[in-house]
Amino acid sequence: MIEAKLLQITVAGLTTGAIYALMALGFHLVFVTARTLDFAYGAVVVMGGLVAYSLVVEWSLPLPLVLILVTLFGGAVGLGVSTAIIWPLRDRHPAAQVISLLAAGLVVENVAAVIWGKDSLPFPPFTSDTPIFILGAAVNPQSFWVIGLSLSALIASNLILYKTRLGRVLRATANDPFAARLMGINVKNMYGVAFATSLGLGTLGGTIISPITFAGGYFALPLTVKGFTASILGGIGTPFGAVMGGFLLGFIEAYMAGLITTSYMGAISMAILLVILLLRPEGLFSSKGG
Amino acid sequence: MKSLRRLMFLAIYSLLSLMILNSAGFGAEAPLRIGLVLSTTGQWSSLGGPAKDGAFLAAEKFNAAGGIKGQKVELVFEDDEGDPAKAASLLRKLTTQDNVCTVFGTSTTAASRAMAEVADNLKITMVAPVPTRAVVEGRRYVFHSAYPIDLAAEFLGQYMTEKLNWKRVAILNDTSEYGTTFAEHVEKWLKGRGIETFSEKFAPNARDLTPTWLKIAERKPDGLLLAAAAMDASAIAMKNRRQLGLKIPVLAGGALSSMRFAQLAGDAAEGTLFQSGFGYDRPREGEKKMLSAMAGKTAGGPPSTLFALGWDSTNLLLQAMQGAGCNRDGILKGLENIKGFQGASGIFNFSPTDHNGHSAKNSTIVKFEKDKFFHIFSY
Repeated sequence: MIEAKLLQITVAGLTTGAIYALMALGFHLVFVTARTLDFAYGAVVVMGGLVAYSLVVEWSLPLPLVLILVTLFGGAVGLGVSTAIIWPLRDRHPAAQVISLLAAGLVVENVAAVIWGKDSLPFPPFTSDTPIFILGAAVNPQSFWVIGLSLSALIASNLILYKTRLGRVLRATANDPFAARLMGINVKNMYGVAFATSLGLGTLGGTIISPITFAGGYFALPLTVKGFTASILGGIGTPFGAVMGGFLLGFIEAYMAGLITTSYMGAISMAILLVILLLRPEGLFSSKGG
Repeated sequence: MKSLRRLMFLAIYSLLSLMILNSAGFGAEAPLRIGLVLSTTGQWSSLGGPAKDGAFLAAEKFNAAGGIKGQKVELVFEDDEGDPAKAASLLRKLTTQDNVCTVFGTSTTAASRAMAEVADNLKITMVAPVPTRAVVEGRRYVFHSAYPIDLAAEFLGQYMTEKLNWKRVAILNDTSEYGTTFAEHVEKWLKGRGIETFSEKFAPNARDLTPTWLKIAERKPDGLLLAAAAMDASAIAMKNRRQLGLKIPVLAGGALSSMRFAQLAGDAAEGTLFQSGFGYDRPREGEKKMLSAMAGKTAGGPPSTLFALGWDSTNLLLQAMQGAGCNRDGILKGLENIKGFQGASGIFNFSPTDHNGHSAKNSTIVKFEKDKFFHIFSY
């Protein structure tokens, strides 16, 4: 019975962790290329869930198509943000971009409230929500979708980053934008690629989590804080660190809730964030800082 | 390295500021005004929205019936976004700039407390639709219209132990002031009678309560009281319970007894018991009156506890204004003299010493089954 409980908690941690990992990778991509923190991220993730809700529930489009459309939608928003906000502000004080992104997040959130309303919307499960029992643990089939799709997206982004020319160029830009420009790399395009990938992952994440958490609702800011905490926890400077941070935060939350206490959960992740920033700002899974 | 750290702290600083800061709103102008402060955006919008609809319907019906000696009443609405500081400053603004006669607000206990202090200072009557007596304690001008938590604790405590025969009771509450106080009162009531009880908590924005349910299930309670105001998180709690295949019976507190919650939870709400102010298939006088006023209206959807709170609170203020007009002390006396008022959520009796007016008998227990609420128990 103890094993079943631990397994159950592990699945819960893996499910939330997968989403945090997606978001942490999104924070990482934007951070290493544009050297900024995307605090509009939670709003875009929530927006992804809402767009998908309309496509699935109101337009009755098939799910695979919805997943592709939503990811493309996030990519397009990312390109827009990069072109309209990040690139023009690239030589200003770093605060200018951070604050502008915060503001953009509020705009996105309010636009979403006008279109879809302020209440959460029940999103139908991808397959079913009758639990599957594994070794005595009841697993929500949507968890498989979340874990499977997140892992696929993580692996795909990793392949792109390390196995393609685009990835090499992106990493070169991250390492040294000035040198990259000297080598003939179009840095502006790389900003676009980074934001598009980041927000594409975000809207995809927002969609696959919606059957579990509902679409929309008052969720953008808490999500931003979670994604940011995860990326800092593992190390925002490396993709591996960010992803590990996501899973670690998911596990910490699940184990704490299941074994110790559910009180002060929000405060505890804030505390973790501050401690890591003070003691190890480069993150737990990263060897070098930014 | 140093610049990274600086950026990070800047980042945290801005995130925290965003969580704290809010912007100001603007009001309208009209004669014989009632100020209305509710949380219609932000985390508690599920509480403020229906209450606002109920308040506006009450004013509409009142004006259609002739108003106060032919004079119409207008509601001046402001959204506090669930922020106590903002609620307090909105009350000040409504009183000093918009010259409202009296105020109805607000959705959360914490923000209502902040408003109550200002109301007493400005000597303006205020009716808060919140269930905590702490809001009115020591206040001259403040009333509250929701079924109080201590009565709810007693009513539910008796129901759980005497009618449901629960010997070991789990309490699951959210960490809002409402949820925390509710859980404390029920726990105290049960422990005072030697009933075994334990509690678990969740954040109002929680999105997965699977681990919490596992912890609860291990202790094999006879039933669980869901004492929460956070609708999304509570609906997720119900879904998680079903996904885990747990059969622990659930009794949910009044803030959750609405069609909206049942719809969010879907199949997972089937068979759940709720504390309510309604009789549903056995409606009382005040409830029938509200339902007939709602007929043909789209706003508010099916009746909810919070819609009824908006409706009742506004009608109470309007009744007090009938004799007093915009005289603030007259409204205070008018409210204190209300007896046998047939509200949608029960019968109210106020007095100079009782600024709540509910009695334990105003509560009902209802069951959600096949997309409908059914009356199960009332005194």
